[in-house]
Amino acid sequence: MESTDQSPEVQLAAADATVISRPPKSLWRETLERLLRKPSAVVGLVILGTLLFIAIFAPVLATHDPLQVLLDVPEEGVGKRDKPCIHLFGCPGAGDSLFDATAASDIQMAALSATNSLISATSGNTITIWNRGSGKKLMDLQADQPIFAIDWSPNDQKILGITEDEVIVWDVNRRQIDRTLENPGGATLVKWNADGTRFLTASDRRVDLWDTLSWGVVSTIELESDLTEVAWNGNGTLVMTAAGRQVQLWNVFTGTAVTTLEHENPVTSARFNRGSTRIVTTAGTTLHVWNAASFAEERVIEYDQPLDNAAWSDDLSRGVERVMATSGNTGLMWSSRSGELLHEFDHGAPIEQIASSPLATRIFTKSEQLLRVWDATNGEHILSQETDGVLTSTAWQTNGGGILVADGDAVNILKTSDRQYIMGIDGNVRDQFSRVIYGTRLSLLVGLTTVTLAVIVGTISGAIAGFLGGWVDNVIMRIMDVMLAFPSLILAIAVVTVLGPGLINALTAISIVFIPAYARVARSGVLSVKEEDFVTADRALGVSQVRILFRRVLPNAMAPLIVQATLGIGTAILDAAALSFLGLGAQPPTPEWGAMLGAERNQVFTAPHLVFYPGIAIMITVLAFNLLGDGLRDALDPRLDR
Amino acid sequence: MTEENLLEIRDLKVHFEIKSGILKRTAGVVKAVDGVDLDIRRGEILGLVGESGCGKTTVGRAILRLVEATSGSVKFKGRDIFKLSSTEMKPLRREMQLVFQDPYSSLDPRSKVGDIVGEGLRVHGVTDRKERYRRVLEALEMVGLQEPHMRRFPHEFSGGQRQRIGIARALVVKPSFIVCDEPVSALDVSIQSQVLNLLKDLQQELDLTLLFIAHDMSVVEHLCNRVAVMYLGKIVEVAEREELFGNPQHPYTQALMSAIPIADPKVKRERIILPGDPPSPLRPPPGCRFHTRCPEAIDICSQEIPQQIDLGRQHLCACHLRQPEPDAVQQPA
Amino acid sequence: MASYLARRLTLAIPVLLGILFVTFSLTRLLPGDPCRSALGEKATDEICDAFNDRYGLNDPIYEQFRIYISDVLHGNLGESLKFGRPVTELMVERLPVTLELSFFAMLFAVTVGIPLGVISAYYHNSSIDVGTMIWANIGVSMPVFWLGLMLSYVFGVVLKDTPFWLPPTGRLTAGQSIEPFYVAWGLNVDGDALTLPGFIANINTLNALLVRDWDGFVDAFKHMVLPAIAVGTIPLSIIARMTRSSLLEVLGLNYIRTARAKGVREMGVVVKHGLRNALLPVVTIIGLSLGSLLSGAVLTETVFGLSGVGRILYDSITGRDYTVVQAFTLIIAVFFVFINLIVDALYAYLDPRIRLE
Ligand SMILES: Nc1ncnc2c1ncn2[C@@H]1O[C@H](COP(=O)(O)OP(=O)(O)OP(=O)(O)O)[C@@H](O)[C@H]1O
Ligand code: SF4
Ligand SMILES: [Mg+2]
Repeated sequence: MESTDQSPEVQLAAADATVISRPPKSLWRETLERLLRKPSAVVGLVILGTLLFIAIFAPVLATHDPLQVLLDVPEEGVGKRDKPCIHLFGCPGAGDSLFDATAASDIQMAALSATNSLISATSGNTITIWNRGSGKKLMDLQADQPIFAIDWSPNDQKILGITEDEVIVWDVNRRQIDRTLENPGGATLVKWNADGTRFLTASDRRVDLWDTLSWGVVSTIELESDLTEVAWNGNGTLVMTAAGRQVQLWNVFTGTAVTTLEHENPVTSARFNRGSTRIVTTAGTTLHVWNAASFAEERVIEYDQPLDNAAWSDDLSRGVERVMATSGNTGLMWSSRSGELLHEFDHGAPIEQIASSPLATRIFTKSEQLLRVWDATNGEHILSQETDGVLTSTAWQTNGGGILVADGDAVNILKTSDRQYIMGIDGNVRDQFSRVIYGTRLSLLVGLTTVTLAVIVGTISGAIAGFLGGWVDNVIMRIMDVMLAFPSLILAIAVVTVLGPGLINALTAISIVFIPAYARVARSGVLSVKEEDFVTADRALGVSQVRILFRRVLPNAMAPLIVQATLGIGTAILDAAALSFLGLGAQPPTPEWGAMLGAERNQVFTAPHLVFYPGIAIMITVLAFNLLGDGLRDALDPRLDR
Repeated sequence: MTEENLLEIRDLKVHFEIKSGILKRTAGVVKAVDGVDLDIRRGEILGLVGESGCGKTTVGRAILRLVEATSGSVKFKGRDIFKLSSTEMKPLRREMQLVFQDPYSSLDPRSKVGDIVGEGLRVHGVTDRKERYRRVLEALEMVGLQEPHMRRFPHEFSGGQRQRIGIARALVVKPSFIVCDEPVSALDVSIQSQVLNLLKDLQQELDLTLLFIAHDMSVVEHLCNRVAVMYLGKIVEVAEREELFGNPQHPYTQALMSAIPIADPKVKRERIILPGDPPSPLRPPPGCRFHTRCPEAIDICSQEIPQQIDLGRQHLCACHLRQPEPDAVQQPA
Repeated sequence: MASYLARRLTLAIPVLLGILFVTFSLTRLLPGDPCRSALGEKATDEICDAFNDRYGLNDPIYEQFRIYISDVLHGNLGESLKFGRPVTELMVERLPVTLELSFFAMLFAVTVGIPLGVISAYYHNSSIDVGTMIWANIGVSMPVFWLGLMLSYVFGVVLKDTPFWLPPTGRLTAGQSIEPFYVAWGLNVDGDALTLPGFIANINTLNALLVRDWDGFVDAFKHMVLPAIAVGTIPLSIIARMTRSSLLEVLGLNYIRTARAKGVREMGVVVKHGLRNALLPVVTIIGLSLGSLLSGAVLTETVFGLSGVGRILYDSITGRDYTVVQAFTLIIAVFFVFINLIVDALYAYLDPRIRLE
């Protein structure tokens, strides 16, 4: 140091003072700019932005209420056991086929099994059975003679078939005949009761009632005129017959008539409603509604043409109670409460069948070669399907999303509307898509709140430990050590076990478990910042300890905490999902991704999409936080400084 | 206490305990400062030099009560500051300030310059924002910075500018005494002289007293009125600048002097090379701390600690070989 | 080294005590009366008094804690309310499954993760590297149980009737059994002496090897593949990332560039010189991954129908069998502490600088 001249010093000082030409820029902005230069961090930010958008606008984006069981919306779209429709475009729409199969020869009768998972078609001596979900043919069941009729048992295990001489019981699981019984005399019809403990066989003037303990006839009903209708009531205690001018209800055990409902004209059709509380009948030009308990005639509806094919379109849980009948080319629908004519459906050909979807939102009308679907609420025509061959049987799928149609040797299921459930419907008939959308809210909320809580408590305790040192430090950090000795999820499980399951408790547990990580980071940050000269400068000025800690030390120790917190949000979301999966976190029906996974885990082989989507959602969310955290770590890395 | 002494340090000891194991046993004691006596006179620049690790910083911080002294006393304007409570200490803190070695770590990277400099005013009761602004600006202008700089962050400044900010932070509370802990050693040589001259000007202008810590003898020679030489926690020699540089007495000082590069290549100086490394302050050698490396050491050196003796002309030295000049003995110490 | 280990061991004691305290509080903090939650709501006061007496619940809390510690030290972890059997017995029965699963998961993670990391580092910034790191990122973001479910669907259902089919549940194909090795060897053991052999025999793959039942081994191994992949994926991703970043640090980017310029044969140099040093942090990560491995096992065993520790923990949580939860939490934590100790020791052995600190 030799230059002691005064003269150049002034200029140098001036020069030194004007070196800065950069605009003022805060450290945060610089960090942000560095962050935005990392592609992965940008990806993370974009995903997070999107998720935030989804979370905020969930009510707009979701197609349904996530908690609502889909009862009062039209039953349609991709159902629980249907193949998922991943794309909004290219999914089957109204009139498209959900199932397609061809039998060896012309089909006399096609049927859906009780749970709709199997489909059978009878042609000649053969019953062919397909898996409804996969479309694969499973088996052919054979009889010695042509089969007149079959009926699926309520549990899908057995099929009853009837031939000239025999009543055959097939065991579907073992793919063989379970037993053969003798046809009591010209019977051409078989029907199981609702619980599969009895069945009936019917010929023109005789109905035999069987039970499945003895596999024998327990009683027989003889009729004076030809049967037009025979049916079980809902709990299998009564059988209804319609023959001549009479509709009769029979006691199953005694085989005696409980009551007789007399009509002025020959009865053309008779039907129980869904709860077997009422019966609708048609005779001549009138339609009658009877009470099935008091046997009182509740309503008589007059029409100007002969009526046939009486049917119900009812869902009592929604207060919907409608009756239907046909007259020539026209289908008719009345309110059974007021007797008011609601809709007339112009089919265009003589109608053979009119049937309502199980939840009474849609109906179809069928003639020999034409099927039409109508909206039951407003009577509008939805679609029609014409066939070359004769339509042998048609039936609603129980979820109402399709109609089983058999014509010629082909069986298919016709989708009845354009509406889609993008991710399918979960086991409780709720829209999976809406639930996944709403899950975003919950997961972001869970991640942010748990981490915020843990960061606050962890930072304060860690900062105090580091700043004060001594025994305070010792006590606090030993507690943290103990907590860190548990794998985090195991400790969280233990804590929730104590607190009891539930979302809030799971949040608390995860927060608690996360505290030590932040305490450690905060402590080491504070320890290193505490020794910095700018802190000493504050002490030299007499700044209070508290102010030094919170205004000076903590803000400077924040960077690693922010990184840790961002990465921690991902882990928190994963842990929360895991707790919910185990049934310790969010409880059903909360639309939480982990809980959704937990609820559908057993469906993974049959409905993998129900498991797939919530998991993917978790993964994307966690990934976004991880990418952002990694980016932040690099952006805040002191090694890249200067 | 003489009127002219602003600060009197007596037998100052700062020992750090090194703890280890879970039971936190004291494994050793670092005698960073081990019996320092030093007077700092009003209005002077006192240089404190010595090798790295000899305890200079610790002395400076102990004076400001930034590290707890183990024993001894420091009297500032006649008051023993070690006996003051922290509330009593607060007004004194305004009078005694500190300038740091590292201009990078001494400024909070997250605060604006205006806030960094203004913090001291806030602490010392200047609540009025306008008043604070005025005084911060005044301090910044004093060190050669301008108003726009107030709104910038430290990382936007060069090392020299940062050091100016550090000086402004110390000046803003109008102290009478500043410890400058190697304020230029982290700077480029070209910038060093600017900062040194700035300090010198400010000292004269504001009538400051400076304790200027350095390990570079030439910097001290340029700036200081008086110089104290430290070795392993003890002051070995104190004298006026001309006296010390012209007539170094302690063998350690002589060795330091011989290491100063000389601008004139014709002048030859015999360089004294000290053998070995300085001993660890954990286990300082008995007797004269310097005897392990002293080229002149005699038997007594390893047994008896030499006392500080006034050799005359205000020249204090702690060495068994140095005796006062006969005519100087009569002078009052 | 010995003194370092001793130091680490003494440091572990307060932590172990803390763990005991936590698991102890677990049952004491449970809402409701322990007697009625064990014996049902209808238990009378007299019965409850007897119950409290029997289990020392009337003693002062510190006394209860002391008894708890001494019980644990004597290997008495209580009795499962649901199974009516000592928890230790359940543990001997269930632990082999989890051990086997963890072993294969770790094997998978290490044998795939380290090479992936090396390749990534070697082709730094290439598309291979970027691809691997993206996958590693995805790997740590997946819920383990979901991965398990999806794997079992893909390999068990989608790939059915292809050579890639793998059994989605269980430990052995129905009807398949492997003769316990002690029977095959004609050892005459039963009763208490059966504990250890029984434990070993319950590790199916090991037992199959011992009795040279190759079909059985293949079958048992096949059943382990999917769970091991599910559980091992997170550690794999972490290990791959760690190997890569520490290799890059050790070798320096310039070195890699020159190595690449010189051709593929330099790969050998990377592995030889870089990997040894780079493995240090990897060792730590492997140790620390055991925690996530255990959590993974808890979540995955239920998915794959494996009756291991995770399964019983799950069952006892849902069945409110608190003694079991308590005991298994304790064991897992203690196990975890010792794993960390071993990792520390290994680390100190590999890097002598640490011992001095
Ligand atoms: N907080 C502390 N704890 C333990 N030892 C310390 C502490 N602070 C300083 N020391 C030790 O005290 C001795 C003196 O340190 P000090 O910083 O005062 O030296 P110095 O003369 O300022 O050195 P330099 O020129 O390198 O700044 C050193 O050996 C140092 O290691
Ligand atoms: S006292 Fe002895 S050892 Fe110390 S400086 Fe003097 S001569 Fe050297
Ligand atoms: Mg220093």
